[in-house]
Amino acid sequence: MTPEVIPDPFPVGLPAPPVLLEILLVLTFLLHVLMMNVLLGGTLTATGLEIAVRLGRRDLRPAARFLVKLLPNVMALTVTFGVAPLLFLQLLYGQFFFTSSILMGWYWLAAVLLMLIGYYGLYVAAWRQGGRRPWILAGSALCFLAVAYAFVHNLLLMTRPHTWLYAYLSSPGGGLHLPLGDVFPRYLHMILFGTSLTGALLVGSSGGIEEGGSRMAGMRVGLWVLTLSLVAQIPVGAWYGSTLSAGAVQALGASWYARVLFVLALVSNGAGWLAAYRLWRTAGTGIKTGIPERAVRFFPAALVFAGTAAMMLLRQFVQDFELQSFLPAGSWKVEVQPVLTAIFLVGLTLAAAVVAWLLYRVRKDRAGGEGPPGAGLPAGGPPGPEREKTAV
Amino acid sequence: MWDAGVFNGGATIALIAILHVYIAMFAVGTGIFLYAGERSARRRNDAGMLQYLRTHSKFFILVALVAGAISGVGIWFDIGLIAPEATGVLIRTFVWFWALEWIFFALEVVTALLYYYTWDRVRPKLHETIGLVYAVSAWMSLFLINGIISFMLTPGRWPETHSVWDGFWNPSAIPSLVMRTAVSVILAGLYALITSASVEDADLRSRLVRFSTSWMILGFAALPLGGAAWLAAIPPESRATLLSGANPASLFFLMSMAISFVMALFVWAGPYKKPSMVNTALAALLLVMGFAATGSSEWVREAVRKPFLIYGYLYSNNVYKQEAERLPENASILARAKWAGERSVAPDRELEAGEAIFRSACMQCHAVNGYNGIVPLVAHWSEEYIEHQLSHLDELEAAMPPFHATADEKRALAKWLYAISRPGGDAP
Ligand code: HEC
Repeated sequence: MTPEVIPDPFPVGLPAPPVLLEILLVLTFLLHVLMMNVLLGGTLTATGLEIAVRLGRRDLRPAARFLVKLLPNVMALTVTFGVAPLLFLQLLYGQFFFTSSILMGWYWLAAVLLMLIGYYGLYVAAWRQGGRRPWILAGSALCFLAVAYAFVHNLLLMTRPHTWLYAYLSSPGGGLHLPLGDVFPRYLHMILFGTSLTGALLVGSSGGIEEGGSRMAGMRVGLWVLTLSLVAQIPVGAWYGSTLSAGAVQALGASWYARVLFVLALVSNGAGWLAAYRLWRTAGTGIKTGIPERAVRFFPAALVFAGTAAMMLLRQFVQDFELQSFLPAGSWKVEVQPVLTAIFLVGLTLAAAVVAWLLYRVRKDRAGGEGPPGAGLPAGGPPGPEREKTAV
Repeated sequence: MWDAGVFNGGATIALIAILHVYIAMFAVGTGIFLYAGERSARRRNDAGMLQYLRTHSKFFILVALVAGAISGVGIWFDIGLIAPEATGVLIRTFVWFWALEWIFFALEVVTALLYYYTWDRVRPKLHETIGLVYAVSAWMSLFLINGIISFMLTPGRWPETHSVWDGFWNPSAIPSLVMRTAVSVILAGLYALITSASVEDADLRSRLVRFSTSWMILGFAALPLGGAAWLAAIPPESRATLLSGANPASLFFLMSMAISFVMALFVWAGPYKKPSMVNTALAALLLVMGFAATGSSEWVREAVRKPFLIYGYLYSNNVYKQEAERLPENASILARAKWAGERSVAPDRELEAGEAIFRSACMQCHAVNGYNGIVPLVAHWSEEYIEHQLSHLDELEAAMPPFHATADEKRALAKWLYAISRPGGDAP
């Protein structure tokens, strides 16, 4: 039975076939998840590391520094890659997403303010020295945890139209309507994805630290974070699975696509852990292969992310399954805009090419400019005394 | 329908949108400013100015990337909350323009970070190129978004043809683009003026002030041209509202023009003529004036569109004009409202029904108390008079859509409005 509160289809059709839009939604969402996981897991981990440094673990300073410098940029990319899937989600499932957002009201809007505060916190932490850094990072982490809760809550509420009317009538100004027990397993699941990816990343990045003591300390912490996250994921994942609707479970069980994804997720995370362990045992050099060491160090993070991506595809599968059953007939009427669709796809390719070209040129220039500051470069601006403070 | 309390959804979007527009236009202008500034400084081998631009670009990143991007997300969140139907229609019509805008936004983010991190670390030529890619991308996002925003006030031939190109190249698109580009350039100059006011070296400061104010003057010169063309392009009803001089929209419009004019005079007579006399206080005053002018003109743009979200197509209460024309005068509102707890006016639940009707038909524009609050508007009316007026809302106030409801429903709404607007009434 379809609840009658689901809004009528929009009078304007979709500007491209739904398959294409769904692919774009998933691809951009995966990029967003990649960044968002590093952001959330990274801010939490960095907070812990900074506290440890403050308590006297000086050997963890380089690892902490790596994260703290990285995070503002990750935040910029998280937001950037978040806008596109938001656009495609509203396009395909606007009737659901707008409604659940309205039902959350102020709680949904507050997420924006929290993002802003958390973001500035990251910049302050990265640009300022001083004893307050752990607290600033902890503040940002709290903000992001709250934002993540708002997102998980919204995306879950979206798939439950049966609860909408009651939710609205009980608090028209908006609220958090779903019971904690429904939201929490999925929420924890997401957070653990974030920390496991951060752990894998930390093992790799610390492998590149020159000073031996700091290198091993950083890798050790990374491995611990990764291991604990993966172990915790087992009961949490099972808990989350138990909250899925009977229909979704059945659909998952009946689909080869879903089964393959699930196995892939397990294998890839396992392989990621092994790669991280191996890297730690060999003190950052990894297995002797022809592949450059720098690349080998990113294996753990790449594998763990591949595992996360498989889980995200499964999540998308469940979401599509739930929403399709409620989508009013005629919602996905198509009125293709062929020229614009083509312009977009060409534009996307061109933009990627421009970014790749710029990055390549910057790398080349900087490689030529190694050595004392400014050497190898034609005299441009004054050599900045500021450089040490602001450089990343 | 979201109940935002005293604020009313309209107030939240006004707040976020004004902030965002201000920052976004600043980001566009500063992109052009940094590129032109760096180029000129390198040609003249002006080390002091380069050092200044470098510091300037740091604050630029903090403000533009962080606040600009997040407030942009805020607009997405908020329009979905207060105008889901219009947002849905706009997205389905213009998604590729938005997607293209997103590409340019991503380019902006990447190049802004690169620009900042590569000062003195790459060949000057490459650094300039990065600045150029940033400036072009930022302006392109303005160009793309401008087409969609201007569409809402002047959809042009789109309601008949449903062609996205007709929508994008709508009558007020180019005039708005000229105005917005001019404002961007002004804001960039303004911001540069503030940061240069605190430069120590008096000689360098003079050069910087001169450079940034000449930008502002350029912008001020283009602004009236765009404004006049815009006035000519908007719907006659909106133009009449603006020029009547007797309503809030018109007052804000005049205010925005007056502030811009005074600012232009200030800049020309002050820092432009005598670069030595600039100080942080004057620059900050100009910044506040700039914010007031941008804010009031954005507010005006929203106000003259009422009672529509998409002019002549979709009303602010999420009812399509076509649909409203088909409805008989006494069509039941509760039967149409999916979210009303009440399905019809039961004799013993008239007040509850009245409130439900208010939520579905009026709350898009009226809070109970607060922003455009309904209580003060009907405070001195009798119940009968309210009920009588409910049949003529669109004649009473051109900014209101027609209100279709049964006689019972009008009576229930009047009863509720009367009850809450008495002193000591049980306004929630
Ligand atoms: C599209 C937005 C919009 C909607 C929807 C709307 N109004 Fe209004 N209304 C306005 C504006 C704008 C004013 C002018 C306020 C002012 O003059 O301060 C106004 C004024 C009024 C006034 C005072 C008129 C006068 O001249 O004194 C009343 C009464 C009123 N509205 C009632 C209602 C009721 C009842 C509903 C729901 C059936 C409603 N409005 C829906 C925008 C709207």
